[in-house]
Amino acid sequence: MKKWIRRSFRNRIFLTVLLVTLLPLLFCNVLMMQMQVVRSEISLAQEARAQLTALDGALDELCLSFEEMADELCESTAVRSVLRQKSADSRVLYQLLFRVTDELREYARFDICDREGLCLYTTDATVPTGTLYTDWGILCAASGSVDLVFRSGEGDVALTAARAVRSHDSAVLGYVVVSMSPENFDYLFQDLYSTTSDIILMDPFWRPVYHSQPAQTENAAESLRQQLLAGEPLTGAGGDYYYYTSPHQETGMSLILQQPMTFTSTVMHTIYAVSLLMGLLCLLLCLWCAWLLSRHLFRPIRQLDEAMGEVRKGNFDVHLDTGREDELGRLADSFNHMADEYQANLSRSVARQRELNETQLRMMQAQLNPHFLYNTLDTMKWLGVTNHVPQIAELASDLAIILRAGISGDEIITVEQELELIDRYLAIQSIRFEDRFTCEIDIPEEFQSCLIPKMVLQPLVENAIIHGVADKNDGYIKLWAEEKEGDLFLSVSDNGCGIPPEQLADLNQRSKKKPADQGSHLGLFNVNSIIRLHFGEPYGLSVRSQPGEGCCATLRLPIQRRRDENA
Amino acid sequence: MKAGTVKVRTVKTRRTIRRIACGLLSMVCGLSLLSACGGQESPADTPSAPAEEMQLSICTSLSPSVYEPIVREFEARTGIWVTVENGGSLELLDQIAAADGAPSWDLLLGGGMDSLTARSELFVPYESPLLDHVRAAYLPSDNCETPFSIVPLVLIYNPKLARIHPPSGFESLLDTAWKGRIAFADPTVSGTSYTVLAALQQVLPGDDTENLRAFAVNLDRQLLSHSSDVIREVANGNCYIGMVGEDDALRAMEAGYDIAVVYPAEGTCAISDGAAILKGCAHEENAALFIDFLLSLDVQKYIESACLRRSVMDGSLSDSLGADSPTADSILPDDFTDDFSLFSYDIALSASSQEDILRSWRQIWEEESR
Repeated sequence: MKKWIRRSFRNRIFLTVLLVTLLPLLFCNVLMMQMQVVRSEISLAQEARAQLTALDGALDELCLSFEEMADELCESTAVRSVLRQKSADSRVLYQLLFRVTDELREYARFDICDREGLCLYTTDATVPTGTLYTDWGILCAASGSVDLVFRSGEGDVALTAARAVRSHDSAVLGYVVVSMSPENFDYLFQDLYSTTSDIILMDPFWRPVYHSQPAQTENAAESLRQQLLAGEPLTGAGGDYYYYTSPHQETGMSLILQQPMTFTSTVMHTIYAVSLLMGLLCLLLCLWCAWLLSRHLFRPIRQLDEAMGEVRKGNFDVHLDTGREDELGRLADSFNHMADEYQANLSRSVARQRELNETQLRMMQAQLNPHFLYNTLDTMKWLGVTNHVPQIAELASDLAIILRAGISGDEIITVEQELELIDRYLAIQSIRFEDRFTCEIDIPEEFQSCLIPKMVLQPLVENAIIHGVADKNDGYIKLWAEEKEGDLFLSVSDNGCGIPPEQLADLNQRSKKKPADQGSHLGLFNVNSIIRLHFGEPYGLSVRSQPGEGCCATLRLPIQRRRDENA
Repeated sequence: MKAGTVKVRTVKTRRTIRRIACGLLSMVCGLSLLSACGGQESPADTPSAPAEEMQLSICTSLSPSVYEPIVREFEARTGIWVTVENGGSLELLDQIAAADGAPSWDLLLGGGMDSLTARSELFVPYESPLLDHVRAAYLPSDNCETPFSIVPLVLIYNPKLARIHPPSGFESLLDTAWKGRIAFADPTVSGTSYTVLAALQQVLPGDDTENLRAFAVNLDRQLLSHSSDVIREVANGNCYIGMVGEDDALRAMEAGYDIAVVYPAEGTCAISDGAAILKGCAHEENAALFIDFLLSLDVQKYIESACLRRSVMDGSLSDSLGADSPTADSILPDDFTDDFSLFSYDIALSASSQEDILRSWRQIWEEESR
């Protein structure tokens, strides 16, 4: 996964979009559901508490009435007297019994038993029958207490209560017994709780006394008792109910309200299933949107990446057309521009190299048979010496030196070496022109060691002599050097006839463009070309002239010295 | 230097984003869990469970109509909470043995004294002070088990189906006339069924194993899973005869079941039901209290009148309470064998040979079931 995320920018966009759309949705979903559950629980609990209070109140009130009734009967002389006589047909007692139980007979059956537990009087519609154990169960408990005692009943009786009728010396004469059936409880609790809830009454040991749904009694009560004993929360048998308990002080029993959960496990499962389904739908939607968005963002970047790859391979013809106006569109435009520029630059560079190669070819052609020429010059020199014509010997010697410098392998020489060649050349020319001109060389010492391409000054001097002062008797040529803007400027001026403006413009033009006429000023063109090829565009030759006032050719060169000399 | 700073910041930002994402994720997961669990929690203010020393756990083979009133009265008088689990006595003994000294109950209630004595190593010795009033014939051979009621074995039959020649005694169980018509529970589960097998061997002449085989053949591969099913099977006519405890038969008749009771002509065995405290139990003191309560006059009188069981106590118990006691007038009978005769059932032999008899029975039953 991590690898997948790191592999592509697109995957990261995709995942981010997915997370930021899906997470808040899930979060809200869970939060809302939780809030619903909590709200429902709180409202159900409030409702249950209110119902329990009402039920508890009803049971309290009934117990109080029972006690008042028992008080009246137990304190009655008629009751005592009848129980002493064990008589079962006292009208007075029946009238008393029915009078004191007048309001209560809908809630319970009332019996009066003798001290052996034999039922003598009853408010039941049937003839009084049956005997209760006096040393077991409710009567045993009643004989040990002076109050009304409560116990869970047996058989059809849900709850029994009994109080011993005692003589003045506290001997037990008989018992007043109250029996409540499940129907009595139904009547007592009716309308006090919602129809969806159920009531369970548990004895002090959490055995069921009454359940509003008798069929569920055993199952529900047993599981509640087990949960209580195990110290677990009360969830009943199915776990789909809330149980609210309220201990009843009077009877020692516990009232339990069984309330069905709104969000039962089944409902929760359904909700979870629906939420999951919705989540899945959202996930699919998010996947689709994230896919589209990441593709929209990623496509130009992928195109750019591929184009870069092509450029790396050397294909500069790639052209991106994103059709967009945003940042990615501008980025693509910039790339196109960069690729175009790079290609143009490369073409220029190739053209320059081709020119250099041509120049070098020409120079090599010029170097053809140099030894033959040199030997010939040597022969001429010795002929001059032999025939006593020293000028010939001198001419041949100087020419040989110039020729040797021309064909030597060093492309770059010092100004001093170049001046040496100029001297030789001037010596030759002074023989030819019989000192009709003078040449002044004014190169300060500091520039003597500067490096320049060889044979770049000689053509200028030659030009000044041939085209400037050749026809004059007081020709004057000056060669000087100066430093301007960090560059070296070497100038050759003459006081010759000058150059007409149109020719001058042509010359300055020519110096950049190869002349059509190979013979005319070819030297100047070559000088200019050599300097530019060596040092670049700003450097080269410029010519200034006023007709009749001579001309001045200036070379602009970078100041370079040998390393050891610099040091 | 500058680029490095930018890189560090990027890493930090990534970490922060990761932390936030992790936080969000865990929040969502936490809330999901809360919602999953929250719905199931009960908001009820649960009342506290009773203290450990106020609890008692009982396992019993008695029917609920017998043990429930006793347990409820015990709870009301002592305040001790009792939990009860029901099962066949031999089955329960096996479970106790399997618990290996850490039983989930405190007390075994019910089961013939022969079955209990056979497994006395599972119990803690306890001698109730009321043991002095137990009928001499029913005093336990060791002090680990306490008898509390006497249950004679009786034959029952369906009078609608077996009126002319009703069964007469143990011999009838081998009579081929009743083949396939005898209701009998698995003796490896039910203590009553085991007592029937042991009594068969002791009372009938001839080879014990052959008698067992004849009985197994007569059952015709039919065994009930619990002895409480015997009466129902006979009453509803699926079977014609069966052998049960006297009290069960009498209570069934009282409840309106159409069955008839025959005391075996050879004499019957009237062994007592016992109770015993389990070794390694959690509430030994409460179990002892319960045994004392079982032997008390109130319970003994109650089981006689309400459960139609015969008390294991003699008259000295009510005498000991004194003449002015309100319950002293109801004296337990000293002799209860007026209605029937007993043969000399050897409880010690029955207890000691239980394993052999059951092994032999299993083998025979497997052979006959093929």
